[in-house]
Amino acid sequence: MINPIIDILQLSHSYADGTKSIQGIKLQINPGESVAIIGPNGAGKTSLFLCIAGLVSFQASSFNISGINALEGNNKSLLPSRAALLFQDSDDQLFCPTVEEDIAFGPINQGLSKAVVKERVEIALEEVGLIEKRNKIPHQLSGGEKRRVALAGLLAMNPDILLLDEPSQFLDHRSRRSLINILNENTHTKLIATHDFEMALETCSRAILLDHGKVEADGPIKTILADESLLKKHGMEVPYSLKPHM
Amino acid sequence: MTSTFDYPDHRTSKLKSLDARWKVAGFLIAMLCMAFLKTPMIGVAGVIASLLLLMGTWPDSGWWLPRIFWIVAGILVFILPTPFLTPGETFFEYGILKASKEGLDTSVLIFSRGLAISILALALIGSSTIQDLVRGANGFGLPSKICSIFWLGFRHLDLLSHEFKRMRVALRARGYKINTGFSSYKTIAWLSANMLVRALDRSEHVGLAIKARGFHGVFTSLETPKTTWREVGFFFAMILIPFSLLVLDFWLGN
Repeated sequence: MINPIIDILQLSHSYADGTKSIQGIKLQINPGESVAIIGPNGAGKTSLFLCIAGLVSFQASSFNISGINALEGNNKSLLPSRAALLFQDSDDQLFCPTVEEDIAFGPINQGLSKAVVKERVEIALEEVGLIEKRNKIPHQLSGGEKRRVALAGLLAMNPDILLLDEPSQFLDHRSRRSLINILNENTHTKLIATHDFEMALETCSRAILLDHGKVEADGPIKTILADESLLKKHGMEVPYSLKPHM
Repeated sequence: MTSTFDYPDHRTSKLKSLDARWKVAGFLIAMLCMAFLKTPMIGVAGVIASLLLLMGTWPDSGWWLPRIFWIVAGILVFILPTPFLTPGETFFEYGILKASKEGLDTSVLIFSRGLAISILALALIGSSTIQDLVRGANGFGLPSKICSIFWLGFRHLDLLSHEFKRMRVALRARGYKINTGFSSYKTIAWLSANMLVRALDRSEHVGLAIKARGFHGVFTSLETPKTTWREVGFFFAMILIPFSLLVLDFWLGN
């Protein structure tokens, strides 16, 4: 039996004003799985990611990420290097003067030697196809390139899990296609929060539907996304490719 | 619109390859020397020397020339009244307005000191990335926390300036024209409040993003700083002229 890489029980999270964003979620993800996290705005997708990446306070009865029990001692601080989070807005993530420095930021903070960091940066740049942009200033890149640099920054940290928050948001067709190809070639465990169901169908095998901070459905992506009444109940629509055509 | 926070292209500076620590030290000492000048004539010499340094090390004037213009305009606002407010030997009179020679000397001195220091600061900013300069200052013992605040603050200002540009375009797209009416002031107040809220929101996101990548407040870089004869030579050349000016100033002052 495979041990799940994410094993969470009774996860809850509230905002500072007391509003509950996540209410008693149970989540089990196996290594190598690509899972789409879908749901309307405010369903708790980003909050779930922030919890898994150990960036906010939460309550849970069990919280194991990649073999780390985050509820024990100071283990929560180890989560960011195991579960790397791609933010919705790449401008939040990119702040170094060059693409290369930005990608190196995470591995340097992990305390790796400069030789190892340079090797990781090289591999990450190659993986996202941005070798020739290494000396560019990140905020002068196009939206798609920024997203790829942000993704390279995560890959260079060599995490076990990638948490991708709306990765195809604001991307044009070419950048979106390039991102889908990168995700499909990547073997990491991936959780992808998205409203782009067509991209989810191409990159994920499983979908989890969140609404009001609760898991409302969990199953094969094609089954979930073809269920018209379920999606309608939560303010969503069946993607065009799954609609029966005349 | 040119933003004050647009990054200069340090790749065109002839000082780009020098170790940032020596640059920070050399420029800071030069700026300190300029701040202590007391003779207007030497102050003007300081401005000329600083300008020659800037032009010699950073030939691409596209970034620094408009900024020098704004700095000059900014300093003039403060020093123009000085000759008229300082008592002394009158050298110009127009109606009730009397300008004194002592006041003029004070104005020239303040102007030249301020301008020389600003020009040196521009040359320093243009010689490296902000991150390298902060790292250089960190290498000289400036605490990491202050360096982090400075570095992230600069990045934040840059993001805010972009945010401001977007909001300005959005206002203009809906027909807004600035005027002195109440509704215009109200719009500016709303815009300012919105900027503050967005700034808070943005800083929270950036904070989470750097935390997510394991930042723990210590500056590290892929580049290993190296001290060679070039750095030492630059440092001594950098302090030689300001020191000479300071000695000359002291000699003339006595």
